[in-house]
Amino acid sequence: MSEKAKLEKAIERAGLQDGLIGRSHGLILEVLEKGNFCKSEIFDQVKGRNYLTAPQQVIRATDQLVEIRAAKAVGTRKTAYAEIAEEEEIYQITDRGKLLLDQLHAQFKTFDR
Amino acid sequence: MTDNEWYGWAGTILRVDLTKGTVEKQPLTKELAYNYIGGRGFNSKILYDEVKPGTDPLSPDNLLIFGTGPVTGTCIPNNGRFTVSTLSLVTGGLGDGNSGGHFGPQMKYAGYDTIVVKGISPKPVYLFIDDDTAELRDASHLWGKDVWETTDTLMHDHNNKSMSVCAIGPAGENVVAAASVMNDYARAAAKAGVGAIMGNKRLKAISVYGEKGIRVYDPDEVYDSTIEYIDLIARTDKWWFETFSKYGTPMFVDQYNHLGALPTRNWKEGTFEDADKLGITPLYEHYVKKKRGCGGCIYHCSPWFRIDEGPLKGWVGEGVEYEAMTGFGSKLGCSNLEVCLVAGSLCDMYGLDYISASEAMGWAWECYNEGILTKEDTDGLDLSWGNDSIIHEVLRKLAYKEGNLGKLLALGSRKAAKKIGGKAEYYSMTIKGQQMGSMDPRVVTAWGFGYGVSTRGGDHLRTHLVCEYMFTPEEMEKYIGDARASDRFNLSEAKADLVRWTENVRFLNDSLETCKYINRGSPRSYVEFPYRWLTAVTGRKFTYEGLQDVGDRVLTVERAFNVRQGMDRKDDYLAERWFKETMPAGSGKGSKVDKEMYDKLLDRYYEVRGWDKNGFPKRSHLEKLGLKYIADELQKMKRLGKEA
Repeated sequence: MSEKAKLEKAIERAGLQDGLIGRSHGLILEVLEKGNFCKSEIFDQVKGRNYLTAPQQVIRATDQLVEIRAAKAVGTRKTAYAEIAEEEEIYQITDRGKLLLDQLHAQFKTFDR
Repeated sequence: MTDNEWYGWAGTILRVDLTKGTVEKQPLTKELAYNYIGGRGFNSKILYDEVKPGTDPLSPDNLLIFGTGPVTGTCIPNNGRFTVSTLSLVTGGLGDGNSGGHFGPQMKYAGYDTIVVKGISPKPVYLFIDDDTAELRDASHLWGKDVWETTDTLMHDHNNKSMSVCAIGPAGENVVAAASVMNDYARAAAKAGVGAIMGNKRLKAISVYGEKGIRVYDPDEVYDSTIEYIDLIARTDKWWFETFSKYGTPMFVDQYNHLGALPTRNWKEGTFEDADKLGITPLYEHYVKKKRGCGGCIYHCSPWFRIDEGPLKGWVGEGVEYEAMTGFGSKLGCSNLEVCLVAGSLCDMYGLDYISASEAMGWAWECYNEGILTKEDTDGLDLSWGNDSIIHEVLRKLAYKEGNLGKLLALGSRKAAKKIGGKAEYYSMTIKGQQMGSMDPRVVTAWGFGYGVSTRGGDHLRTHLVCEYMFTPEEMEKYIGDARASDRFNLSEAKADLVRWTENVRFLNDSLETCKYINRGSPRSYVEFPYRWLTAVTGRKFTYEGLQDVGDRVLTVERAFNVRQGMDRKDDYLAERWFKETMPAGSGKGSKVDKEMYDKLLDRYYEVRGWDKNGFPKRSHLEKLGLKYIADELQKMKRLGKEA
């Protein structure tokens, strides 16, 4: 099975087909392409774009990326967001994530709205 | 299934007439069950049909209705809720409070879907229910006792620790507007002065115990759908599931402070400089000893605390809640967590709603700090922001209507503000007269719009609009049709559609009687499971679309009730502060609610609801929902909506 087919299968298995993976995930993957970050740090870099105005939206979208293996946790560190966890996980983009990001770039002219 | 055979529903309504001292059983009808589902749906329909326009909330003709849902007491997740409804003492319109614990399941196990109470007893009584036995008994020995003492006494007298007791405390006996109906020691049906209505009826308590159980139609599907739901939440709402299970609602102190939405100093501000002293870190490091849950709960969000040292040593309590931390903390400028914890327990004992009590206090604090109230009004107490030494004393005065301050606060902040007049009215943060808690509407705009149009007055639970900040924009686009609704600062017309949708899906929580925390970030949890559960439990085929119609029907019945009581568009606006003052700090710094846009939203909301520009339901919409008799009545009153 090709990597592209595996990605499609993963999205379907997670119930995220029909447009549920989109600009928000593209924005998060762009951040992770620059380095490894926690969810609160990702939010700080994308807030205000594509209607992302609360950390909880980024938490949810990042968890979706992890579920389809487009991102993975590579460690933890303590941050100011006590309600997320005592220590936040740090995320890294995967090869599948890079493939997804390419697809999203092809699909959308811009991730901003 | 035969006509008198029931699955899910118990099949019986209990009718109590306190004036006559009678208790009668009435069969539930399929018409009511299928078209109104249960809980708040039954209650609102009965209120509309039986409480006539012009009724005084304190007259014998007002009803107090306790309603369970068809899934209450089954194994469907978080099924332990029930709704208490009445003609509101606070708004003069429809009012209700929703509670958890085990009272709802016990009502069902005893064989009752709904208890409808009317009249006023000549002496204090309690309603004793043990399966088929349902009778009024003398409560003279209970009158004057607090909620915890009343509960202990009834359990002791009946030698039954498994019974569930729903009771009022001194606040209800003294007809205080902030009075709640408490059950299982620390669960509250709050808002609308439901406890005051119960006290005015001289109904001290209801004790209930049942052993009949509940039949479900398709046990395999009930089980399978429950497991599937839990898997869905644990997998796709991972952060919420894990964090809420660990911390419960106190986690919102930190969360809302980050969002800039934490009500601070009577809603002047949305961030509190000492929020970290009230949040989950000190709470769990020093005070929480264990956690409990309501019937069928998968989260156990209710922390049980004990204070082990210091001047408040020995205090214990259950159900430590965000609203206690913000209500007696940030709203009063108080950073003493122990004071907040004990204030929450005092509310439980006195039978006071945290939100209504602390909101009335926040109003008084601001009036005092602005020089509107003086020490003469406060019986010599210093209500300066941050003075935590008087909070417990003020709660006592409120519950017992004691002194100038107690008598004033007992009215609720809107009536108290009207009595004082002038700028005091500006500081009363109410909608339709009802005080609210939770989040600042300037930085979660749909959440705020939901406050405005809520049929029970200012309230976050009619919509419980967490999807505004938890759905991804992609999910918002798919399920609501417009990604702009994900922008929590922006008041676009997309928010009207979002509010209508969430009102309908949240109504399903209130009619099945499931906890609102079972639906959070996962859109599928809202859309797919209610109809599957209802179908599996009752044997009646329900669909998502069909349940949206039921939501529209009940919301319109509730609106019609309020319209009949004299309410209209003018009652759907937020408190003036949120339109006039910008948020001074935090992530929403500079935000306020745009009144022009709010008006456009009202137009759009009324349109999608089938109401006219004044907020009156239209005949075409009422008839489509099977409510022709309401259209006829509103027409006679000249309050029927104009067709476009």
